[in-house]
Amino acid sequence: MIEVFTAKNIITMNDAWPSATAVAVRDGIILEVSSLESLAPWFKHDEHIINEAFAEHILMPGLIDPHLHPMMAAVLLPMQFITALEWKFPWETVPATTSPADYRRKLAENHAALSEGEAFFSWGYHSHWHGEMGRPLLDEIFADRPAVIWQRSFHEVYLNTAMMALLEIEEAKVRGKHQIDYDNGHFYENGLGYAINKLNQFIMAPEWIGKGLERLKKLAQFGGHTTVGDMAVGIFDFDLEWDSAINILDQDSTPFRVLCVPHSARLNHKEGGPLQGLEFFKTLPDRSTDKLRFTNKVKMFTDGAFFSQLAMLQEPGYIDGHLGEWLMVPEEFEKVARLYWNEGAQIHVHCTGDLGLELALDTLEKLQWERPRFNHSFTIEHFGFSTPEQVHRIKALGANVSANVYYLHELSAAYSDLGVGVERSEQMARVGSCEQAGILTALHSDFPMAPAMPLHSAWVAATRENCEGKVVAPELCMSLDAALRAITIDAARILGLENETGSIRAGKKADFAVLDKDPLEIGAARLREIDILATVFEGKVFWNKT
Amino acid sequence: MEQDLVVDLPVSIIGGYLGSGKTTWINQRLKQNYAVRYAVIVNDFGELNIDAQLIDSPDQLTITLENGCVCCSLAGGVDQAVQAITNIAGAIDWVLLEASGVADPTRVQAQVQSWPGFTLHDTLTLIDATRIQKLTRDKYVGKHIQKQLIEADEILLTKTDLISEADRSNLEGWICQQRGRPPIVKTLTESQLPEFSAERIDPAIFADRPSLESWLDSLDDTTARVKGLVRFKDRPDQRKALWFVVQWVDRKWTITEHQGPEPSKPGIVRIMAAPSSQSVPDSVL
Repeated sequence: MIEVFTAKNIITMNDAWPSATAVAVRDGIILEVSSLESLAPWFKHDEHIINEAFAEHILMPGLIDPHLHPMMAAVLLPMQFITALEWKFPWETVPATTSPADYRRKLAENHAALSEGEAFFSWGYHSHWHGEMGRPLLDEIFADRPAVIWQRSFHEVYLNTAMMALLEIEEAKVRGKHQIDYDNGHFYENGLGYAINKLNQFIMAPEWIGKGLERLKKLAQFGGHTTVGDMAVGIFDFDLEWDSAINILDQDSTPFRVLCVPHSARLNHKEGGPLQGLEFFKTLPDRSTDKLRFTNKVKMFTDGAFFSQLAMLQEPGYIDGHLGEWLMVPEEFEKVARLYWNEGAQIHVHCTGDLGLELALDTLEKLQWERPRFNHSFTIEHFGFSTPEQVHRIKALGANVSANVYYLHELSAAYSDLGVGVERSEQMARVGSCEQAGILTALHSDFPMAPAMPLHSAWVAATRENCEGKVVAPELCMSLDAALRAITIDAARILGLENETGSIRAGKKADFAVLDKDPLEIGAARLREIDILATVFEGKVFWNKT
Repeated sequence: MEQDLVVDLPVSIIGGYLGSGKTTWINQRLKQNYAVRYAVIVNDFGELNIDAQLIDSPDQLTITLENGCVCCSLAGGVDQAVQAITNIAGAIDWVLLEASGVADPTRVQAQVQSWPGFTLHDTLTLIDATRIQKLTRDKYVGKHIQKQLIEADEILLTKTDLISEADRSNLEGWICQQRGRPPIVKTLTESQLPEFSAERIDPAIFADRPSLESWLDSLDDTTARVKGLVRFKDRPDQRKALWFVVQWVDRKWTITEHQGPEPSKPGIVRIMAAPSSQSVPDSVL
């Protein structure tokens, strides 16, 4: 049986055959994308039905986020979001809460809605908008109900008295500790780990993770995804993650596939050393299922978190003179990279600062000298700070870029003042230069670091508008075409899935995103206004709204 | 069962770049101080760094941890290691934290200061005499190495047998200049390992609680640590005398009721920080 989907416009993302109005699908595979009339020869050999549900809509290839973190999402998503910026979820639209009075009212409403004894977890608090926070305030609102308020950065929590009692946090042990404020129930930065270790009994419990992954399924569909990359499998606990993924994601109800890229340090740690880790790595493709796929990709890390200002920078560094952080000793990074390179693995490297990037490129250059490889898919992940010269080097060495452009949207203003100054801050995520240099470039969210909304990422890449409405370094804007490729076919190429998905052409999986507006018609500036009405995953329709 | 540890466990941070001899040094310290029960935490975030496996401590507790960013803390990481030590804290006297080769000492110190039940005692940086000056100019790690050099309480030079006497003298001058303060520079060949001796004290000499308290008050900095289990005989109101845990660190002490099963034998151990004359032969490096 052939199912034909008609649409107002089908943006194929195949340059040679750019648009169409009907696509024929059989057994989840695209037979032909053209027009209803042109499909006639197929109908002589097989029965067909015509599905006109999308006749007034736009079809694009199913969107791809090549770098997010399902397990981190699973920890976060069960929490109640109360945030300064609006977050759109399929289960609710979280409105912007921008005053202390509104924030407290939201807390009180949540308290009233919960059943007796049920603990309350919230994420998104920020003092700039939401005012003072602390244990006395939480006790006043929540009384005996255990409550946890997670700060927007993930680096701080506030606990009320009931939660501290539940977690058996004793005054004698924690009072006076660095970055722990016992009276206020405030655990932050270095003090946070103590609280998290205690909170793990809740947020790493199988039921919690299960609920979070179910929400992730809806969220990914809502954003139009049919493929995502889990760019650090094993980040918490390899076996726990794999079991959860099999139980919850490897199901018919999941409208996307996951390309699983293991975290090399975690593999090595789990297996007892890098050589053992590598052996384990080689066995991973054997456990692939239709929806959960290990290939020969591996994830490595150079420098620290962009959001924590721990990226490693070349001169002149940070304004306040603090140092960033290496996540691996550079010479060890090189040794491990060599181990995987010589096995033919495709290495994806988390690089946030320009010195982190420099280490990745110096290493790649050495490895190319020792053992040249073509089509090696060495990929720079995140790509926060970089120099124009490094872009040429990325090109010369044949590397790819998968960029988090949300950095520039959320942080370019703040980092101008508090980080590195306006010149370098506004040039973060120089994806336009990558396009001009002909580097294969994708966009990602690193969710939960940024919203998992590929069209929003494309909007940021193409407009470089930051959260204050300022356009930063417009010279570095991506073209609309490149921005759309970066969330479809080019993202598929970054993940090595380009023969299977990423564009709409005969022979590929029938993965579509159904849009209410035509991005080519409305243009880059309005990309973020587009709603995803449905997705089609391997021929099966998943509606976002009833 | 978690012990109610009121006196904080002292933590020594052992820093230094790859090949500076941290693991060798820690192993020496473990071997030569049977009186002190150590927990060793290895900040082993490098993938080739198998230091944790090299720590030679059948009786000691070695815990590997990975770099402690928020994400990793979720997985346990440093806080799980700390919790594991806390759980057996009664059996541990001292914690050695082997920092990663590129650790920023300020950040590691801040972490330790946040651990409930622990107190930062000192920061030591080991320096490979053959390599240090080049490393401080390294493109990637130079600034971190400089910081390790400058911010340590004490510097320990290693591999000095591989350089000439003149070079060593110049190097020490250079280190003092970098640090901008009087030298606390030792070399493994001429100096000693951190040195402890221990004595077991018969608790019977303390007739009652006040006499124990006044003895604890009298201790000075030559004592590093006192711990033990005692019971006092003069408790006519009790059918069975209670056991007490005695703890002393940095002139602070506590006497708390012992929880848990009946201890097999009473006793107090006093660990003294007096220098020992023993030196480490060059061959260990």
